[in-house]
Formats: sequence, structure tokens, C-alpha cells
Amino acid sequence: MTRSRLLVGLGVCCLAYLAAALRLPLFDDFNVPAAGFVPTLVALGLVGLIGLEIGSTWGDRSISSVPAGTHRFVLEGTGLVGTAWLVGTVPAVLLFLFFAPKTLGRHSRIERGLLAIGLTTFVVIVFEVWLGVRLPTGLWSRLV
Amino acid sequence: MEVFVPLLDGFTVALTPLNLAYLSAGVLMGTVVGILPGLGPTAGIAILLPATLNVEPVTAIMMLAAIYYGAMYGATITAILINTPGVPAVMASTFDGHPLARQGRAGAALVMQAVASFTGGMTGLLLLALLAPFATTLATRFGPPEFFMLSAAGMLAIGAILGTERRSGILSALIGFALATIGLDVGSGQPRFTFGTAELLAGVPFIPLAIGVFGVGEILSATHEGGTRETNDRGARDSGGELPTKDEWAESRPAMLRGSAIGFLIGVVPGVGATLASLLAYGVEKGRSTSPERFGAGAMPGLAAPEAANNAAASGAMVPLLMLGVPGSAATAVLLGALLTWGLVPGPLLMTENPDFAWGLIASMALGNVALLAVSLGAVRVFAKIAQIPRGVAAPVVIVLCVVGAAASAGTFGMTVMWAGGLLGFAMKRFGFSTPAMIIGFVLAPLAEDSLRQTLVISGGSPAIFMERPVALLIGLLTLAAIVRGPLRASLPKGST
Amino acid sequence: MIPPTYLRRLLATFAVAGVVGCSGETVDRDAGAYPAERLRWTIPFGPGGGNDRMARTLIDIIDLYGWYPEGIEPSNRVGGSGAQGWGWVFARRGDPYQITTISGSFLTLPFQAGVPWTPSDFTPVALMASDDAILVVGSDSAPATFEAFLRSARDGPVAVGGVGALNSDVLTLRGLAREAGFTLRYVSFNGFGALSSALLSGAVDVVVTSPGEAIGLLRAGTLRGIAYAGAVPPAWMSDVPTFEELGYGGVVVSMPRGVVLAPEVEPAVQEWWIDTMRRVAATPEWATYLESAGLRREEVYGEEFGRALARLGRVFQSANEAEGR
Repeated sequence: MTRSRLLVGLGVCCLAYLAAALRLPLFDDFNVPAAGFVPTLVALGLVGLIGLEIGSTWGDRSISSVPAGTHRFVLEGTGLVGTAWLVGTVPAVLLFLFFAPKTLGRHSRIERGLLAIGLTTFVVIVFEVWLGVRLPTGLWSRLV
Repeated sequence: MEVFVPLLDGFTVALTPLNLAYLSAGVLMGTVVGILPGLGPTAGIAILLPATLNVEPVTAIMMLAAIYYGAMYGATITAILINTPGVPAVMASTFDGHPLARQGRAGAALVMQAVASFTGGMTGLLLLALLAPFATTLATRFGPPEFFMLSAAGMLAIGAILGTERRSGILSALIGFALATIGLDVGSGQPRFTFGTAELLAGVPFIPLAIGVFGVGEILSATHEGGTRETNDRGARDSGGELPTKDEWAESRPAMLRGSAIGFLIGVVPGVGATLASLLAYGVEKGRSTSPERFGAGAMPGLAAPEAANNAAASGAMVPLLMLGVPGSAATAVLLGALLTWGLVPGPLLMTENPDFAWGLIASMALGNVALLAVSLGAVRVFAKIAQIPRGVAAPVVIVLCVVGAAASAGTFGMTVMWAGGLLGFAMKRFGFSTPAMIIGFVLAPLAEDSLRQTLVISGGSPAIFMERPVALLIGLLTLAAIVRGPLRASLPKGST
Repeated sequence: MIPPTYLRRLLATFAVAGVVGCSGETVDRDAGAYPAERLRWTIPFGPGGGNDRMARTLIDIIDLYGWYPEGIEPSNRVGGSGAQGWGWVFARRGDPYQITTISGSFLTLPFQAGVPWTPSDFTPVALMASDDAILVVGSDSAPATFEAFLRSARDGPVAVGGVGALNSDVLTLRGLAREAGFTLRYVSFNGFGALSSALLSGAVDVVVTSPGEAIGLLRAGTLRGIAYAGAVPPAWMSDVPTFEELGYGGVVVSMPRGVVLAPEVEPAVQEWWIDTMRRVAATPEWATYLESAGLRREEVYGEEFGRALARLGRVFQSANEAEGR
């Protein structure tokens, strides 16, 4: 991904935001700024600045795409959140901790297993038992 | 001096073995809760509140205050070590605290932080004991026009943290602004940009967003910069117990005092509190510095000032709480709830009707500060070691703590916001945008928008109201002066500073 | 005396530190029994406000008598006249561990702010009290009496502050403006903290609030009530005239204070909470709270409460339509 592409994407989002902001009332009965006033200003500022930014840095390829390792780590993190959605936080954490360290360095299966089990136990004891916080159990648990 | 007589009485109320036991337990429990990203002081107090139910009010409030202090301390550790502010108030501590940790100086940063917090807390309490009546008058000078001016001053902090990349910095702040307008509008009760979802009605939640943008964003870009191999430099491994240097102490001492004063004054204003105080203190320090370019790259005063400020603000917040019965923050509101449960009605009559209690509370906050200084200095080595865990292990562990913290604070929706924030933060960092500017914009936008619209409704649309109210005018002029000063300075020839 | 919950938590702390093992923490949790989990009590308004205080009082009473041993976690989800908090609870359909306290705007939001729920979506538990508005002025500000306020309001628009954009306070104010013939310029604040600072700083001269929120300032005389919407003012502010006495009794809309669960919660859980709330209402602590918070006792339970809410909602809606917005 290049910076220009990110800016174009951001610009599209900001135009959508501007369109939505313009549908809110700008002023109320007393001619005082209403719900749409600040968002409209913010949107105009964003669109303008992004325009300037694109104009002055277009085609600057000095920053290239993300290397494979980061890519994998990002995917693994997305997997963690996705698995937590589906089957619950605790199994997701366990799986992630077993696989992710491999991406970033050399760690044996035993090391990773110990880390996964140790930290998962810690999370369960601190959050669920001590603090009584209910971690999301995922869509899977609703089906059962 | 006779002002100190009631304070000494307060100490005799507070200093019993049982109270001290509860105080220590509170500090420890608070620290543990605070370290975990996602559970700030308010959640900490609320969760641990049942533990204080069946004891005397003074003991209970001491423990609650201790939990609060402990949690704030814990949150700062997380902010410094993994760049993840679990509460808005410690956000400014990441600006220089985390760069220090990355340079292998986590130990020094934590020592400085502990001393600055202690200084801020104690100065704040001293000012509280000496100036409570005056501060009460001050607290009653702030209406919507003043809040708006304060939020404008807070925005200056955005300018202060930006380097040369002004345009992309302002762009970042505006992204934060735009995110903050999602949800229900206070002024009209209308939903904005919610796409009809119930989750977004409550707006984008701060904790998951901050955990994502700062914590996950930082991990991802560190992974990225370091490639996929572990390249922890040797220096970081050997210097865990290092202390700040003599020069750093010298330049941080006045920063702490200024931070404490700013913190107390801003803390007194109900509803603005520690976040704005720490941002302003940071901005002032950078503005005054003869070498502002070191800020954001690990300057000690840049850590000392906001830390002193947020702790002094916690003391300042006691003024509206005790003297007016007006809670300034979620945490003081929990204290207020506790007070009311015990049949104590905070307000102008509290100091005369229940002086023992009020002064006992103030004394216990002082004791809490002392206990915390002891705990934190003792624990520096342990926490500094955390900074040396190889990244292959540390990065996944931090990601897990971020996910779990976000889930604990806002469920699966929180996790989603957190991860999206993380990717956004990574992309922004990578392409030269400023994530702190974005989060400051996000935090200050609601205050600015609500107070602006309230002001204009009151005045019937006329901006002249800002000129007619002396405090608003004063803050406005100071802000303006600070804006003008920067470019003036920059236009001076290089050698003249 | 150290409470048992404290000991348990301390034990758990040690377990975390690895000093002792986790000692059968989950054994006492029966599968089918309610409650089996920590309860999330959503407070849709700012800390220290009326809704917040009532929720926390209820929680404290329940904790005090040990009626909910798994623990209750209050959480403030502030914004948009309460819609953020109730929106959160609404999204937790069928979850028996999500409860919330309602206020007047619970009824007005569905038709005024386009929120995706109506009061009938929630599982009704109990109406516990009614809250009547009070008009409050700073002690040294211009309109010292209700009559003086009316006079200045008729001369030109007067800004009146309040918490929330659309609620019973606003409807009462609008009714008053209509009856007394003045133009209302209403300023919406996010919580009592910001509202009271605005009044104390003289940015607004008059605010509408409930007596319980301003109790400390009212008792000290820092603020003064000029008109109370309820029938009989609490003893500590007996000198404040009522709307009825001032000839505006017809405009009063009171704010229901009650408790509802998330939508579609099982009837057994609903019964459990109705029973618990009956017990809460009978405690001396609750009576003390009502007196000190300036609330009127009013108890309606279960489906009857649900019907009362729907009825009141229609009153709000027609009052709103009469306003032509």
C-alpha cells in the first residue's frame, strides 16, 4: 500500500462523512449551531486538507508496501479477534499465543505451549475470577 | 499555622493500623487493576467497591482513594512500557515516557514518574488545604464559555506535540474530531453517523480506541520496523535499574512544580479534570523548553510535567466534590456515591458539619501518595525488566492483553473497535500522521462542541459573550498569546535562544 | 470485621501472585440457578446525577442484604439524554445480567430521537419512585422569585439550563412557557456537574433539575428553589412554592424512576427481580433515600409497570406533538 492510496481511501471516507453531515440541520430555530454544524466544518477541513496532501505528495513511492512478516502478524491478530467473535475469548487467546510467537522469532513448541497455557490461565484468573468481568464467549456459545 | 490544625486532626483520624492495612491493600489492588489495559481507576473502584462496604466510612474512603491512586499508577506503567493509556489522563505520559522505555530507559522513566506523581499529589493536597475557599470561588467561575476556551487551549497541546508535519498533524486531529461526532448529539438528542446501529449510539468508546491506536499500533509498527527478527538492543537489556541523570532531575524539578500548579487549577474546574491538565502541562513545558525538539523523543520534563499535573488535578477535583457536591469526573462521582451512602452530603456545609471526615479524607490521600511512592520505587526494577522481554514473546502477550482489556471494557464491539483502531494507528504512524493528535482531538471534540453550542444558545447566537466574561476572555487571550509566541520564536535567528 | 467478599478477593489476589492455588472458586455456581454471574447495571446518565444515585442506592441496598451475591457492576454510559446507555442494554437482548434504571427521557427518546427501541421492548421490573422537577436560581442572580422569573422571561427570551435535550423537565418547561406566555430558550447539558457550574458561574440564571441532585447546594443556600413541580416539597425545602400553588399545576410532567431488564429476558428472571425490588422498597434504607433525594414513593410492578410506561409514553408523545416538533 502506498501513502497516496491511503489518502485516496481516506478522502472517499471523508466525502461520505461530509455528505452525511450535510443531511443534519446546520442551525436550529434560534439560529444557533445545531447537530450538523461542527461535523460539517470538520468534514470540510478534512476534505480540504486531504486534497492539499494528495496534491503535494502524489506519486511519492518512498514508502513501499508492508513486508510479509508484519502482514502475517496483522493477519494473526485479525484472526485472534475473529476467533474471539466466533468461539470466545479464551480459546482465541490460547490459539493466538501458541502460533504468533513463531512469526516473530524462533521459539520451540514447548516454549509457546507454556506461554499459551500460562497467560491464558492468568487472564482467566484475573479477569473472570478475581474481577468478575465476563469476557465475550462468542457466537458459538449462543448456538449451544 | 492554624490551617494545619484540622489537617493534623485528619491525620489522627487516618493513622490507625486497620486504616493503614486497608490503604496498603487498596494501593496494591489498584495497581494490579490499573496495569491491565482496559480497566481504569473508575472500573477498578467500582469493581473493588464491595470490599469496602462493611467498614467505617473513613476506612472505606481511604481504601477507595488508595485504589484510585494505585490504578492511576498502574495505568501509567502501562502507558510508559507499552504505550497504552488505559485512561485519558495518562495519555500525555506516553509522549515522552514510551520513547524513554524504547531507548532502554524504562527504569529511569518509572522513577521520574513516581517522583513526579508524588510531587504533584502532595503539592495538590497542600494547595487544597491552604486554598480550598479560594479554589471554590474559582470553581464557580466556569460556565460553557469558559469550558469552550479551555478546550481551545487544550487543542494547543495538539500544536505542541506536532513537529514539522503541521498539515498531516491537523489532518490527524480532524480525524479524531470526526470519530468523536459519531453517536448521539448532546445538544439535540439526535443520532449522528450511527448507521442505525445501537452500538454506535454510545459513540466510539475511548478505552478500546486508545488501546488499539496506541498499544496495538505501536506493536505493529515496532514489529514492522524491526522486521520479523528479534533485535532487542543490548543496551536495553543491561540498564533496567538506571536512574534519571543529574541534569534530568534539574530540568524536571521546575517542570513538576509548574505541572502541579496547572494540574491543581484545572482539576478544580468541575468536569474538565486530569486529561486536559496533563495535556496543558505538556504543552506549556514544550513551549518553555529551550530544546523543544527533544520532546516526543524521550525528554524527562515531558514526562514529569503531565504526571505531576494529573496527580495534582486529582487533588484539585476534591474542591468541587467536597465544597460544592459537584463531581468532576467518573472517579470522584463514585466517591460522591459512596459519601451519600454513608449519609454525608457533600456541599458547602460538609466542611462545617463533618470536618473530621473531610480532613480525614485529605490526610488519607496524602498517606496514599506516600504508600504509592514506596510501592512504585520498590517495583521499578520489576517493571523495568518487563521492558526487556524479547519481542517474539512480548508482542503477542501485549496484543492479548489489549484484546482482553478491550473485551472487558466493551465486549466484542470493544474488541472490534480496538483492532480497527490498531490498524488505523499503524497506517497513520507508517505514513507520517500523528496518532496522539488524533486521540487528543477525539477527547477534546465533545467538550469543545457541546460548550460552544451551549454558549451560543445562551447568548442567542452572539459570540460577544466570550468577551463579556472575564475568565473566558483571560483564557482566550492566554491561548492567543501562546499561539502567537510559537511562530515568533521560530522566526528568531537560530543562535539567539 | 472484614467482610467475606473481601477475604475471597484477597485469596484470589494471592492466587494471582501464585502463592496459593485457585481454591475451587467456581464450585458454588449452580448451573441453572439465577443469578450465576456478575450483573451489569447500566446507568445512562452522568455520575452523581439523580439516575446514577438511585441506581447506586439500589445496588448498595441489594449488596447490603446480600440479595445478589455474584456482585453488581455499575457502569455509566453517558450521552444523548440517556439513549446511549439504554441503547447498550437494548442491544443485549435476552441477557439476564443487563439491567438499567430509567428516567423520563426513556419515554421521549423513541419518538424524538429516532432510537431503534421503544420502552415496551424492555422487560419491565418496577417503578420505584417519581421525580418532580424544581426550578433553581443562583442565590444572587436577578430573578429571585418565580414571579420575577416570569416577568423577565416575558420581556425577552431567557436561557434555562437542564440535563438532556428531551425529557420530562423540558416538557414541563415547554408547558410552562406556553401557559405563561414566554419564549423558552433551553440549553442542554450532559450532566449535573456541567449544569451546576453553568448556573454558579452565572452563564445561565435559571436551571431545571431534580431536588435530589442539588441537595447539598440547596440546603446551604448557595442555590435557591423558586418553584417545585411535586405536590409537597421535602421537609428541608418546605418554603419553596409548588407549581400547583403558583397556578401552573397542569403543566407538570413527572419523571418515572424505575428499573427494567434487557429485552426478552425470561419470565423467571423478571419475577426474581420484581420480588427483589419489592423487598428493596420495604427497607428502611430505601425510605431514607427517598426522603433525602426528594423523590415521591410510587410502586408499580411487572407488566402493570410496562403498561403504565406505555401510557405515560403516549402522554409524552402527544405533549410533544402539541409542541409541533
